[in-house]
Amino acid sequence: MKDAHPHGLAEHLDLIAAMSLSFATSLDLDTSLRHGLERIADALDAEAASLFLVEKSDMVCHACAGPVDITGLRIPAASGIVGRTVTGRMTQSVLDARNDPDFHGGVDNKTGFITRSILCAPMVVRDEALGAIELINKKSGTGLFEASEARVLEALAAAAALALLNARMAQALVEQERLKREMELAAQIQQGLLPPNRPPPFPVAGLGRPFREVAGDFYDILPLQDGRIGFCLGDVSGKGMDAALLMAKTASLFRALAKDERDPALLMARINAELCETASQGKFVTLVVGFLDPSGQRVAFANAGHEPPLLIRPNQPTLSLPAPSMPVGILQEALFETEDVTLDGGALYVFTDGLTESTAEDGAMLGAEGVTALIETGKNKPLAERLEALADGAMAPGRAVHDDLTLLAVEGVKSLSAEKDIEPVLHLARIDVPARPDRLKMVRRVVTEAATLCALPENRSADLVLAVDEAMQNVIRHAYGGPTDKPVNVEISKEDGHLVVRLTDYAPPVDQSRIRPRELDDLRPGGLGTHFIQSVLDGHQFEEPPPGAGNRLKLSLRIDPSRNATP
Amino acid sequence: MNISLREDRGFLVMTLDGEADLQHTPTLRKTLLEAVSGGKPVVVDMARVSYIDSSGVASLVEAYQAARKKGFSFALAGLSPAALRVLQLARLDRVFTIHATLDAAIGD
Repeated sequence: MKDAHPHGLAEHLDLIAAMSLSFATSLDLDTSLRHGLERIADALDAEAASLFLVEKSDMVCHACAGPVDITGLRIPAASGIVGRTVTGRMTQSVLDARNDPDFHGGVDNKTGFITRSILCAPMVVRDEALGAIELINKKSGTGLFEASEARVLEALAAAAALALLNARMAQALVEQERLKREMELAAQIQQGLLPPNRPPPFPVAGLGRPFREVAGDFYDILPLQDGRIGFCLGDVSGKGMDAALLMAKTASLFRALAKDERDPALLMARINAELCETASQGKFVTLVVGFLDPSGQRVAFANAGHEPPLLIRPNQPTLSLPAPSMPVGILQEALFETEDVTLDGGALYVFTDGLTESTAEDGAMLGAEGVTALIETGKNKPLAERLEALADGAMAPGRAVHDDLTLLAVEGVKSLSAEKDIEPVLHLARIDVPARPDRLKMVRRVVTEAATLCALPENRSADLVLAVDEAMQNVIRHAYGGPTDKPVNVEISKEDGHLVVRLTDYAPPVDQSRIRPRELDDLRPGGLGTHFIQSVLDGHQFEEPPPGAGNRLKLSLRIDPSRNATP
Repeated sequence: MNISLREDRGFLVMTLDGEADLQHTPTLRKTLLEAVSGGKPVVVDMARVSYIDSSGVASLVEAYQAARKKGFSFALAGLSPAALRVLQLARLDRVFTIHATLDAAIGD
């Protein structure tokens, strides 16, 4: 026998076999390693034993046997005799640790334990050292661990390493499987959230093509009892589970709140407030919410930081309508604006940037122009098919889509009421007043009387009066730059189911893009007034002023006896 | 619009009567700011305010901020539904302390 020592490798074969089996079949590896370590220490006659595993740049003691419990001890990976074993992947045998420059005496110093001899074998599997098993103080004989015992420990350490690797892979698999199931579930929930398209001539349709299994985009279409059709389309920042949950939440908020909020800007504000209340770690949503009115000709919508919708109408230039407000979910106090558009036989297209940012082979993005061109080619198709064609066009051979593709379109229908005789414009009153604060009361009285004539409920009348008053103030302060005897014409009429007030001034034309509602902490006079105007009216827009005049603002409020008071 | 001031049970009560619009804002603003610098808690009795616009609201906010800076309370009382609606539109209905009636504001 070549091995000089009586206790050779062969005598420990039973132990190696038993331990390997125990490690390999263990359901609780930590416990198996601990028990195994005790048996190893016992069989190799060591006073103490410990098992260290590499964790990032440290080594951590996961199991130990002997008089001192150092489980949880963390040492830098490159330090000590354990570190040397792992770094060099070589078994280390030390006769007297105190003479070894790498010896880390910290435990001895603290506990009074005296370390003399050490045998430390690396836990190597597939060329990777996962940790090391260390035996301390041979109790018998020379006090030094024998070469044959080193081989035994190496075999045991290798078995432990393999078991550990298997356990880790199994855990990763379980985790992967769990994630996959989670994603499948999320995808199912999302598909359930997207409404099926209704057959023509239903005027609103959508389409969603997720890029990954779980999309961050969504849309919804919600016919309301009063004849309006609510719609929304959003894009959640980020991807994955968090984004999917935020998407589901936003979509359900829209469903819940759209039923009793008529004004898209106010609806958006409520969705925003709800989202902000349960802050979602820096995630936000770009969102468009709106309503197609029962006539099927007008759309009111609010846009919170979303890609500009396109308004494409026959014989009119395509309009890109950029968002005036920030996305929802960021700032509780954010305010939003309602934009009113007339469809004129055309349609409003809302989409995510997956569409505009789809690229051709040369990397050129599709852009709003490309989208318009694609819509033009499919313009004779029914709405839902037109959206399919648009998505197909963005994904045509040679083109690449890099994100979810989500589209929604609202089409103008020929409404029944449009075929009836259009109600003639009914002039109710006109007064011309100097642009001075002391004439505001008079204007309010006239508007109040006109509202009474049209049987407007008291609260709606008060809203109209407030809006006209604030608009008058804007004329006095901002158009004319202060009180003046120059005139403002106030014309009140009943048009197409609306009470309409037109204010015409003779000041220099104002820059309409500068008229914005206030931020909450911004109490400059004009901003709050503009916010009031936008909140209470059904429409407000600048019209072409008559010759010689500066600006003409049209303010309108729907006359609807059945209409509830806005909250 | 008429504005009157009186003391009642340790409060400075400011009663507004009429329409708080741009025409009256300069006077309203001045009187409010004087009232909140008087070292007493202020209650604005708005039971007779039939109308308020953004400039009136802005004056109330300014007075409220000045009172808070000095550590005195500033409350509104007896708002008509119309006036309350305007504060709601401005999202200020939760910022101001609002009492249903003057008695509720200064009673013990």
